[in-house]
Amino acid sequence: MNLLIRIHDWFSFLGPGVSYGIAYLLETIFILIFVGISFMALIYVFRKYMARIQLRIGPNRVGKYGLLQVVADAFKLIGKESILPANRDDLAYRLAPLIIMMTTMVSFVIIPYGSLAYFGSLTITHSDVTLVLLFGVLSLLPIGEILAGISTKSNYALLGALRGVAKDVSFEVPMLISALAIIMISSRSFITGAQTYNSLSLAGIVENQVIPYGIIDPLGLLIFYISMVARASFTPFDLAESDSELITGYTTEYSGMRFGLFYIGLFGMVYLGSFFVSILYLGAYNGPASSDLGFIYLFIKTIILVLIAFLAWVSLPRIRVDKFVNLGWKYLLPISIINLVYAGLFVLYIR
Amino acid sequence: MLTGYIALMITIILVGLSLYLLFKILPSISQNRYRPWKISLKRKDIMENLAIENNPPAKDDSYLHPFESGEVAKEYPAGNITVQYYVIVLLFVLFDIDMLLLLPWAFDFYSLGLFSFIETIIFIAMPLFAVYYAFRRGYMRWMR
Repeated sequence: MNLLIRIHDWFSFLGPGVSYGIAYLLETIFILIFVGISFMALIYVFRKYMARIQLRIGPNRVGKYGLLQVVADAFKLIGKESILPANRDDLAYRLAPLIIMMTTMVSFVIIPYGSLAYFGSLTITHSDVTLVLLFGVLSLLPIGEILAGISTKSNYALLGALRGVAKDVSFEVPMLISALAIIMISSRSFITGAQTYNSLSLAGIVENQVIPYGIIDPLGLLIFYISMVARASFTPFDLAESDSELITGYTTEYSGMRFGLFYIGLFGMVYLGSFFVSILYLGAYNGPASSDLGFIYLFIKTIILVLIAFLAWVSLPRIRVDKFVNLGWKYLLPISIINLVYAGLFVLYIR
Repeated sequence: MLTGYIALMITIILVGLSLYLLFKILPSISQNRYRPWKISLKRKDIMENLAIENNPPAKDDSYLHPFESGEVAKEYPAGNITVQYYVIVLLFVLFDIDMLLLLPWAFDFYSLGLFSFIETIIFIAMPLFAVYYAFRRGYMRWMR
């Protein structure tokens, strides 16, 4: 049973064609609403968490405990004026936030969500290559950054875009090599010891993951998590928008709702990356009674990873620019290749 | 098998549509300094005319220039931009294509066995020499 069949059952009195059409539409809207609500919850939790660490109270006026602050902020951003700079490259300027937003939303649809009691499996994209698909979609994000940086003739935006590209270029390679190690480990079944044929899809990796791969491959977990936080441009790595040097980096010339879309992209990336890490390394929705509670397991793991990333945001100082490219190429890349060798030997000999 | 991607297509259409609507209705609900400033002498409208929302502090075109902390913005000249880490970008392309070629290998890793594993290690070690070269020549510093 999955979400599609369940919604199809609700509307089955309309005939099979119409009800499947409605089911495809409604399951997508269901996931998008879930993602939107969790964005708002994440921003609220982040502001409260940051306030507690800095000995403040945080948002507490709008609604009970300030719960509606995020909604108020969204309306404020919509109501603000969008200043369009004079010397802009118009198409690139308008396209950049759309690319960021579209990419974030599409990548959330690809993720397998496990199953929840009544609805069954919440996975809505069924494909054999979702891992490759997700990496492909994520590689569209830098295009948005570059377009935002060079579309206006602002020095700060250009510097931010240059740093953003350096970040993506430096940390994508260790991320990919760690994912390669996971595909290798997943290519041999733990139960039968034979070759498996589903290790390129996220759902297949979770299926093969009898022991969480984070226990087998802790080095890969570390590298992947660091690269993920860096690609989400969270604070130890937020050189692209370091607000004390460049004003906000490549989003300097944006205001109003366009800036809000960039902000959603920032939080969306760390949320998505936490889903990604918990699927590849932490066993995702496997566990006791996983056909009823699987989604809950995945969600709890993801929230813990997001909270660790928030903790890094509020407690670590920003990494220096010249040490930044070094971290990706000089440390993470050799360690990830060592990790690849270890994974190969593990699959061939230790199992 | 193509039915698995329908949700993806619907997402692209839905998000695209909602973003289009958002930016279509945005100019009509947001504050806009291009709107003609109407003068009326009703008591309600006087307060509205005095309010800072309809009477923005910058009356000239300075807000249309790039933001530079209040200074007069100096735009960089048109033309090519120096990307000081272009060697790193070349390395990135090299490694990315490398990973792309290795994905099918990783998929079949267990049945291909030890020999192809050693081959692959040698295959990965070759671009590592390029990384070492870039490191020794100092291309990994931000400003060389």
